[in-house]
Amino acid sequence: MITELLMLIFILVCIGAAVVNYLIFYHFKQFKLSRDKTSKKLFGFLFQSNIIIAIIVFIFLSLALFNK
Amino acid sequence: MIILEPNEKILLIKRRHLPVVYLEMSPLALFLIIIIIGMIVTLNIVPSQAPEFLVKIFYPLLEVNFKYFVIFILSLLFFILWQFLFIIFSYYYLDCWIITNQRTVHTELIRFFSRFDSSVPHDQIQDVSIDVHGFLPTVLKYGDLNIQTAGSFRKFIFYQIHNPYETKRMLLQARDELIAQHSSK
Repeated sequence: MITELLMLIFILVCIGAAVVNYLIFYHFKQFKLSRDKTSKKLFGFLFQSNIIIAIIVFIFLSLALFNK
Repeated sequence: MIILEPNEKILLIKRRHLPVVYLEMSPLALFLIIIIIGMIVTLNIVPSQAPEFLVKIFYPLLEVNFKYFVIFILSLLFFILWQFLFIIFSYYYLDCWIITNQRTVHTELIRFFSRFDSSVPHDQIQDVSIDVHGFLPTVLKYGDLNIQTAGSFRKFIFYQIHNPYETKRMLLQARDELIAQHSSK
């Protein structure tokens, strides 16, 4: 039961993060200025950091569930 | 998207002064640091078996490694707060004033589903005033710059920008150049 519950919480948070990422990406795209490279770098950093954090969270989840 | 005219050049892009945004972010950043410290402490102190009183409240805790369960919850909290940190930074980055040689453009992300864009031609500018008010604005050299325009344009306010005096000088110079350009035609 707790395995499913924790997995569900993790998936919901990941979906929320993906939605936030998409919205930020959308607004950065709207903002786009001809010489603006910073927004691309910023979004790239956000996206990469989110993936790394999500992987770390998943590792802790796996350890909690399967490393008894 | 901000579309510039063919002969339009960007002179300056102004955003809120960065230290002000850092101050806004600092409670969140502090919370993130506390979470990291909490994770390190948990790794060293918390046992793998859940305490009895917690098991009595929520028995499925017996099925997990309690130490990593706590770290998982903390890292999940970190993940959520990280999104908020970026949302604050996105609001800062996407809220800006662009001074070109022809007009001033204000673009603002009010909320994720609410966006505001407007522009005022420089020849409509009637008055530019500066408001540096308080200890921090004086020390950190930031303040509000108000543009009073002719016609039905709303009042333009550059909030908490760094060095408003220099921005005012540049804005008035751009206005004078545009008016001179128009009168020479």
